[in-house]
Amino acid sequence: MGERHNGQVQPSDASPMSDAARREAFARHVEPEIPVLLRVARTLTGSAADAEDLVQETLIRAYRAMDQFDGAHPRAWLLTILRNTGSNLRRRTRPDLVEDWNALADPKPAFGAERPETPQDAVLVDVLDEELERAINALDARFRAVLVMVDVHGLSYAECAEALGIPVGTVMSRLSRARDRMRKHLKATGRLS
Amino acid sequence: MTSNFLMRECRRTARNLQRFLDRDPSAPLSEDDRRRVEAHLKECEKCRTLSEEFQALHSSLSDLGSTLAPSDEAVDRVKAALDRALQAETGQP
Repeated sequence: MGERHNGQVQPSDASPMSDAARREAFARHVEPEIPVLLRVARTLTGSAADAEDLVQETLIRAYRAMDQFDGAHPRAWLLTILRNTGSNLRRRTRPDLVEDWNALADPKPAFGAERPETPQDAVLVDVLDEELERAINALDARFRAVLVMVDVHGLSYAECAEALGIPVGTVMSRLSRARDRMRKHLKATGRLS
Repeated sequence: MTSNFLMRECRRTARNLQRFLDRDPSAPLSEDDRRRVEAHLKECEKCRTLSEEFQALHSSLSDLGSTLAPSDEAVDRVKAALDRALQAETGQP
């Protein structure tokens, strides 16, 4: 297989993969990650239907790029494709929301600042303890995305960094602040004793 | 043990607590730092309470994750749509 290219579909000098080898590699490395991709896509898009569209497009790109995947860290590779695909799809289909999507990767979030609610801000938690939901929704979207990906969906710091296109250190600092806010909110409302 | 020393250790523990609890491979604590956090949590009730609160929060959020897992139907729909798209593209079943 060729070199890993950070999830970008790029031309390869290597001889093309046979269809059978491509299907086999796809089934082995990609299909087991579909549930995680759906979870992350739901966090990024705010809707189950949009998440399925995004994952479908991501899988098509991954399939085409299988010969450029080096076999290591498939989840991180797919999360990068997912992020790039989501950004492109959003630019094409919902130009009004591109700024909200890009804001998740903004290096300087105004922590604690009030921002108007947008569709991007809708949190992807349907069935929730009410107080937990209120605490999550009270977070800035950038902090919320990191908290949901790491603590709710179980991504590692590095996987979350790939999905959002931010450094691991930024994931850690946003996570720390988000958790601290959550802890204080839940403590104040008696949810944490 | 002086209160200054304890306060220094509290600050140090607060700085390292998330990494201590998460044990994430991207940001491991050094063995020395890990031992210091462990030792401090044994002797400082305030930091121990903080640690327990973060663990309870993580546990609640993690439980929430299990209720938000995508359904098998959603996974099947995505796979079926992918098959259709690739079939249209390659002309192969």
